Amino acid sequence: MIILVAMAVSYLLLSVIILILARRGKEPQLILATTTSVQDSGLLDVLLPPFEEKDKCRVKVIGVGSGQAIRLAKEGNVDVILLHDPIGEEIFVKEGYGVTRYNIMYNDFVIVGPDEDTAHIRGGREGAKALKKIAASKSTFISRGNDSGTHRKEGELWRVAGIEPSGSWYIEAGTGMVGTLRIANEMRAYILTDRGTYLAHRKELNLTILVQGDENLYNLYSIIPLSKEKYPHVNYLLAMKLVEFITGIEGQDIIRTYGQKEYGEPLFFPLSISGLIEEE
Amino acid sequence: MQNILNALNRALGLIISLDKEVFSIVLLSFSVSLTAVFFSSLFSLPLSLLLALKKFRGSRFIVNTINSLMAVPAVAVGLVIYLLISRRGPLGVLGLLYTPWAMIFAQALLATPIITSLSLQTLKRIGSMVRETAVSLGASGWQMVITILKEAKSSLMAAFIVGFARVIGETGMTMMVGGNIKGATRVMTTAIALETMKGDFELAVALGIILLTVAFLLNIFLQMVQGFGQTR
Amino acid sequence: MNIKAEKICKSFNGKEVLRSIDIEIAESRINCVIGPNGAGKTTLFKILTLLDKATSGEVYFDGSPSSLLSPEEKLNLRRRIGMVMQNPFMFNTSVWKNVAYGLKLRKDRNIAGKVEKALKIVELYSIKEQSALTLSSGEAQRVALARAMVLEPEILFLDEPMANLDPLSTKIIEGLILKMENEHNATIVMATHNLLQARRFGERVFVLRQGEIIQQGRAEEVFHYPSSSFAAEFMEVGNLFRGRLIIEEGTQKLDLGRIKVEVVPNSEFGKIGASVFATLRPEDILLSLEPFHSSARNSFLGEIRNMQDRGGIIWVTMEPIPRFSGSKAESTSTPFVAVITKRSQEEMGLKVGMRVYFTFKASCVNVFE
Repeated sequence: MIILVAMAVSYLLLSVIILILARRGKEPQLILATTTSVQDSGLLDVLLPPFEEKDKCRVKVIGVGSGQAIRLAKEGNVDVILLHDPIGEEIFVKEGYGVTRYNIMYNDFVIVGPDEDTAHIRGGREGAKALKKIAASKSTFISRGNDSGTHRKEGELWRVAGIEPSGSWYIEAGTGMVGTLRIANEMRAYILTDRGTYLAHRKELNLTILVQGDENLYNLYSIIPLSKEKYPHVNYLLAMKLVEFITGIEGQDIIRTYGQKEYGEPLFFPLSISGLIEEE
Repeated sequence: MQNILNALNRALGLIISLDKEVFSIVLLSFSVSLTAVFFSSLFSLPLSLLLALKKFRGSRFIVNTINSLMAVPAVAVGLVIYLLISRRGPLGVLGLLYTPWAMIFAQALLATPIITSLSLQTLKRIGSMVRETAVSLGASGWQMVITILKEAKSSLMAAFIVGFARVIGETGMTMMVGGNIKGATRVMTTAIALETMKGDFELAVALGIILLTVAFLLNIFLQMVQGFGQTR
Repeated sequence: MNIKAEKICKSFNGKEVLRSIDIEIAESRINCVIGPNGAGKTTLFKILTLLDKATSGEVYFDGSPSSLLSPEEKLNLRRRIGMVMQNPFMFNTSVWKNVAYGLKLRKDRNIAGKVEKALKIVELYSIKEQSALTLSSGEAQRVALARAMVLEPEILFLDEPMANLDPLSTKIIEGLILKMENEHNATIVMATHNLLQARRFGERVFVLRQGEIIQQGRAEEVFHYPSSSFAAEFMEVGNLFRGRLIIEEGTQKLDLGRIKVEVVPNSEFGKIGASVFATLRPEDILLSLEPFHSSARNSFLGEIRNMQDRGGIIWVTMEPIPRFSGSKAESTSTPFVAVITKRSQEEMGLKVGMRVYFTFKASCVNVFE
């Protein structure tokens, strides 16, 4: 039926026209993919606005799991990624998707659990050792299970411990960091978490930090702009400006002080040269 | 329990003080869903008019297709749109992913089968009744169509309301293609999902209250509108 | 406007609804199409008013065949023809706007004046603002009529206009139809299964049965001389007999078993000895307590078996008593029905079981095959 076809075509045309028009005249923007824990920490809400003001642009933040962020980036749907997954990131850059890794900050992971601590891991420093004890005593352990940075770190530790976790005591939740913490809270279980998220929600959780300090538990955050060669449409210039900002004095300052007021401790530690210099 | 009460308290506070963040999210929800329903009806209305009034080969097939499409889950629609507008996809150059337009597009696709099907039913029913009378009184083709539309006004409104209710409450698909970006593509449903997972209940509860109120009002509105058409 | 249909056939999904109909609408007259429900009256109307197309055959409007008309010409024709359907559809708006609908379509200049006049004629002016959906069926019918009339059609089709109506609405509508015909010289085509109506209004009658016109003609002809048993039964002619034509004493008679009825010789019906039908209108029978000597050739004694009061008119059913007992006295009964006024019945003191004489002219007996 001619009328039907005409309608379908005009509808499509109309949509396309509107869509094209919608993209005009907007301020320059950047799409940043990061992990849910970074998004949830609230750091970006404080870190980005000054940058947006200064450069008169807009940074759109998408929070997903670490592995997912890399996949999103590979599809070319974002301009820059901010992750804490050094291994994945290295591969990403090696394969040419990203240009370089710029380290911007770090914090650490801790193992938290119920005060009763039936697996007796309190006071320990090594993550892998603690996990061994937990597995041995079959104490309930909640895993992120979603290929996020935390989940990958957890996987690392199990590998070091030489254990393949399985059994009814090992529970894989598919939720974000906070959600998973809550589950652990409800089930009085052990869980590996980044310090920042734990601190931010300490008040509502009845869990204590039992293991911390191990080198293996360190969590390094980096930012990687996507390669303009592979993805001609990305706003590489603006991405680099963002990198400059975050690794510069202003950005690092914000990172250093974030969380002090609300939680008594900073959630992240600045890492770039300018930041380190300030610390001295 | 205390937590919930606190959250409720703070949520009400946010609503009463017309908190900017809350209401910008609400506003975005409405603009996205209203626009989606608008575009959907641009397509649905002529289509259902055509199917209701003219018999042609293949019209049965189309009607059956539309009815089956109603059963497609929203996330499936979301997936299709995502693959279409992702950079790697055929429409990637338009750069639509993670913009409100992607959400509008997806919601429009989701709403169209529903709106078309409901409009079709009502236009068929009213069409057959009106047609003879209008034509016998001297109505030309177009005049008859306009008369049918006028008589079907309230039922058509009801169809739009149902479509609107469907999309404004949708979460998964909207999140997939919109990205739930703060200040850009964060709508009531995706914000509630996010904030709940994060643990910031006050925003989630505030938005939840508003969303429930909207759903409730929509329902009342629907009943009223259906009542107007109904003395037959 | 002259509407003429030739060999109209209409089928729905393989089911034949109209078979080879030939009909010409008498102009400036009230035409009645009568037939039982399901005969095809509505279907026929829709074809004659260009609301539907015949499966085969042709309708001529002022000589032009409808199949050769362009859509605009069809539209113009439709605007000159009015149609009021059974259970008319009311638009979801006020009575006033319903009536004004057709005028608005034609962008008429004097909508207000015409609508007001029409509403007053059907006595609905007082409720002109009321929602048309809340009307009783009688009121709705009047609105539909006003709606059609206000457009001053050259021909007005009415499909069962007075089915299921309250007395007031019936009165108004009947008056209206007559007025239209008298004062405006309009052509009216009315479908009905109510014979009293058809008898009262119809100047030209078409009898429709199972998709065929089995009789047509002037009203008097059709009613007094139905040409088939179906038509006769349907039109409640009152007395329907079956008998054999014989010759007795040199005159043609109809042998009904118990009695023999003298009939007027007519070369049309068959040979002597043939089995035929005959009808006799109840109004043509006179009742008397004494034998009645008159020019009427048929006078018999009968016993009253039943009396039915139909609103001031008494229908008296009698069984004829053979003059000579013994002659086929036990043969099948042939009841005769006569009508008299209640007054006559009282004056004569008629009661069930009584014997009366009933008399009628030979020429009143209508014989057919």
